[in-house]
Amino acid sequence: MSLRTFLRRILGSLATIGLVTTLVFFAIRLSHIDPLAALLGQGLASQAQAAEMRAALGLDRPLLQQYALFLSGLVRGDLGRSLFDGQPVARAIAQSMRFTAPLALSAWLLAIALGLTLGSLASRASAWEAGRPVRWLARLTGALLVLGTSTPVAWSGLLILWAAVPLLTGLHPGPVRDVAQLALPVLTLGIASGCSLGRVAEAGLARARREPFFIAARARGVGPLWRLEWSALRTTLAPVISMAGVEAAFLLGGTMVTETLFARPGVGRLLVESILRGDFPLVQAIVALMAAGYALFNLLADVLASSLDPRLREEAE
Amino acid sequence: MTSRPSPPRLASLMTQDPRVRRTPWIALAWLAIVLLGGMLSAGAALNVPFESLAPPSPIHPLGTDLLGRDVGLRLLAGGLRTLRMAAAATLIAATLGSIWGLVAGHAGGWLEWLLVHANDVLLSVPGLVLALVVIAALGQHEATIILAVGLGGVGSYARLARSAAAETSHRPFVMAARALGAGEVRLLQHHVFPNTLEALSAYALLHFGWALVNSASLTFLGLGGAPSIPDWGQMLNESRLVFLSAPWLAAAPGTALALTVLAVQRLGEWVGKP
Repeated sequence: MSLRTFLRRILGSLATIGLVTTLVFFAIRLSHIDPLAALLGQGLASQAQAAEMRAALGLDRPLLQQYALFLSGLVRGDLGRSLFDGQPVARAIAQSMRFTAPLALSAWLLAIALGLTLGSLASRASAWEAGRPVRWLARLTGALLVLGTSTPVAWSGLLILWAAVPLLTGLHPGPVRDVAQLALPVLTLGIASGCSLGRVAEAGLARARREPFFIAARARGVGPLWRLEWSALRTTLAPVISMAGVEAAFLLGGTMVTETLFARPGVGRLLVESILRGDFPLVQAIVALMAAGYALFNLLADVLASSLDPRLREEAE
Repeated sequence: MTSRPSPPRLASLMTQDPRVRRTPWIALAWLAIVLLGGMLSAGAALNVPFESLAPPSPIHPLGTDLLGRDVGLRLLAGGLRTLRMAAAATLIAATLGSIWGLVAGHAGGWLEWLLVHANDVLLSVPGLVLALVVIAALGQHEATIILAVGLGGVGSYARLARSAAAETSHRPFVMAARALGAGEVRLLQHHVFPNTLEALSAYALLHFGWALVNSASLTFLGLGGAPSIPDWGQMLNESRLVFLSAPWLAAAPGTALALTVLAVQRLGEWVGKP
């Protein structure tokens, strides 16, 4: 990918994120949900106090003026404050990012690794050169891939939790337990996402195995086995990585479910809680952040894919 | 040399040959069970309390939940609701996405540019996150979840519809119809749309699986309000806190959901195969 395309992509992403933020701002404010209704309903604030808070938060001003205030705050790097506890939005997000960034990134890498491995194994189901045990193993893997793509994260996460509880109960607080606590949601998301990548890899590799170049390489006796495999894998690596960029959408959405399930105070959990509380400033900031994260994953995937496949480089020019 | 050169053997008969289109009887049967079970259990008393957290037994084949309600009955009743929510969401996504994509692909020019770029904005937010924004704006309710999941799927549907329409619009018979004086709306309705229908309906089934998982995820997160008939995502949510002492509570909706998505996927493959 040339520098020019790269810069153009970044500019495009920035414009998109700006549009998304604007749309979310107006969508939430045009709805008839009062963020202070929860406080009033629980008797935590009187009508007069609520009116005072509204004025302090600028919620009583005209919509366009609110938007202008929001934009001017944005330029100064001020994302506003949470309606719930008055904490600056930027700090709340930064705190929860410490939990979500490692989760999303390692789940993504695990998904790619798992997808390529399982896909390569499953693609031998109809490979005529493979022995009978290999073909059965391949068929089993293929069935597991299908099962993995159709199992909701909420359920597979519970299963992983159930399997891991005996291992975790004996652990004392410390780095080992921290890693173990990260590993469970990473496994949940990585396996689910890896299975759908695996199906893409499986289809690509099965096609590559029937191509003349692969049959010729086999006939010439290219070895050892990993070199032969690599020759097939090379042709399907780029589409798998591109797909991994799209798959990041699933991962970011999946963090909401896994963080709820494993009680991790990450960005996904924060988004769900903010919506349940009607905490607008946090909602719009997190949605913009997720759009940015998705754009970043996609850019990363495209850079990787075009460095692997020269044809994609020419297309992008 | 591109096809498999081996002679037919028993093993190769058992592998899935991509050319054979087998009817997915098991998938169809499972979906029929879910639908029929939901209809038959419609009048049943779902909220009669029995013993709390009873494990599976002959009287309660799938056990009871925290409030002593029969899990099996709730599973049957909830299945219909889960399917209905996903089906309604798919219908929204398919209708809006098809119109959006067909108009963009057929029109070309500035209108296509505008629609495609608007669609890119839509696609730049992950579907589940977009659904959450809709829920944030409209409140927590079953209807909101349907709308949210539906709108979350419009983007990818529109993209598919656009490429299908762009391909069809340049075929000679469309140009011939235009030369004979057919209006653009008529061209879209009678010439372009019927020719993209097959691709669109195969995609609708794929999308149905996605909608199932996503609407269940949203109710799992507790965003579906508190209806008297639960759906499977909500049942998973209710069972989450007592999972270690009563795993059967989560096993029933979790497995049922996975099987249903599997069945829908299989059905989609079957329809989508040429």
